[in-house]
Amino acid sequence: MALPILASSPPTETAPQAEPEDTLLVLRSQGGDLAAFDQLIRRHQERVYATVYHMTANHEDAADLTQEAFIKAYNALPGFKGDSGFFTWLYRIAVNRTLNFLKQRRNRMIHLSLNDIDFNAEHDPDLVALTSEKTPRRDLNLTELQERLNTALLKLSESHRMVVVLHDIQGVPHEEIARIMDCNTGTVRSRLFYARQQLQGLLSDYLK
Amino acid sequence: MQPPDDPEQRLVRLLALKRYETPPPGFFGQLPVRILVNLRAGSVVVDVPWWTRVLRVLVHEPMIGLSYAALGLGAVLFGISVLETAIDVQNPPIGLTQGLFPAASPELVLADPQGPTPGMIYRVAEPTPAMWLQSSLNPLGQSSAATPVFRFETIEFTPAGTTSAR
Repeated sequence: MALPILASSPPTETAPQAEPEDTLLVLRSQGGDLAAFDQLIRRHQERVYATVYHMTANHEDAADLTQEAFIKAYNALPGFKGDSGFFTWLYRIAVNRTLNFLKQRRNRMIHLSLNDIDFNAEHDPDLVALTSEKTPRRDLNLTELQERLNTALLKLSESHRMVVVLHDIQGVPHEEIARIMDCNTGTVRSRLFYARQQLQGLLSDYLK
Repeated sequence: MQPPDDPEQRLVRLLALKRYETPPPGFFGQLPVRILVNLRAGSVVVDVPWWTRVLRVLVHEPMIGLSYAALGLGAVLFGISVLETAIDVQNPPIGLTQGLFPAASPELVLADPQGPTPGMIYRVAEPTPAMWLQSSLNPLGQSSAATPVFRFETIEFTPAGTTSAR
């Protein structure tokens, strides 16, 4: 049974157990050890994929971009000095690649290719409440709700969407997002505020 | 603290739905394999220096290479012609450098200081650097404005060796 992608704890640079191992694996990978890099991929692929997927709302694009991000990271590893954590550095590569991709895709018609919802969602009390008789759209099933949610997210600008994805979906702290997106914490909070306001307007049916 | 029914809180809970979106089964098992296969095959775009990328483009696109080569050659030729012009202005043709054609002075100078003969006609010129520049930019010399103007005057010599124009 697949667990929700981000059920694990949010990524932080101060994770006491993961960081030393990452450092060691990075050193081995810098020496050309692909087995070590394989471990790094397996450790971080779910969160990187999830971020890219939530940004693009397209599984195929997300798979390609995740793959590109890891390959780019491997090739850039000799230049990685360890000033930030490996995860932050990797995330930054994935985020920049995704933002570039979205800029190129801006003029094209967006094709949603949504992943299936894990059946655990049906037992999530929050989601049950959202699709229960208390909501004005009680006939709405989870798949339709998912589509509405993704469509609303796609209406945000890329930078606002990225902050929502990282913070509200991925659970990344503001400070970490600021490091990933190369901006200050105030900008992150401001973007999050405006993005949430816009989403509240777009999804007002479900928030009453 | 926000109340539980706060729209913002409801939105955050709604967004949590996206955490349940999972890729097809086995995806995370295959992704590392695909990445490593690509890395081993070297069939991916790697970070290479810019000159290597330029070289690749020139090798794979000979027409682009030829265009750039022609452009470069043109630039070099233009540079050489500009340089020659600058040298011409700084070091005008033989008459000016040897004092036969004073550039800025209307004073008359003997064409042959070694053997002056009274009553002989000497060529005298008053070209300016601008006129020489025009002349070298217009090698055909079809424009009268581009040709240095020469005056012909008769000169008499006195026993003391001074000159004067009639």
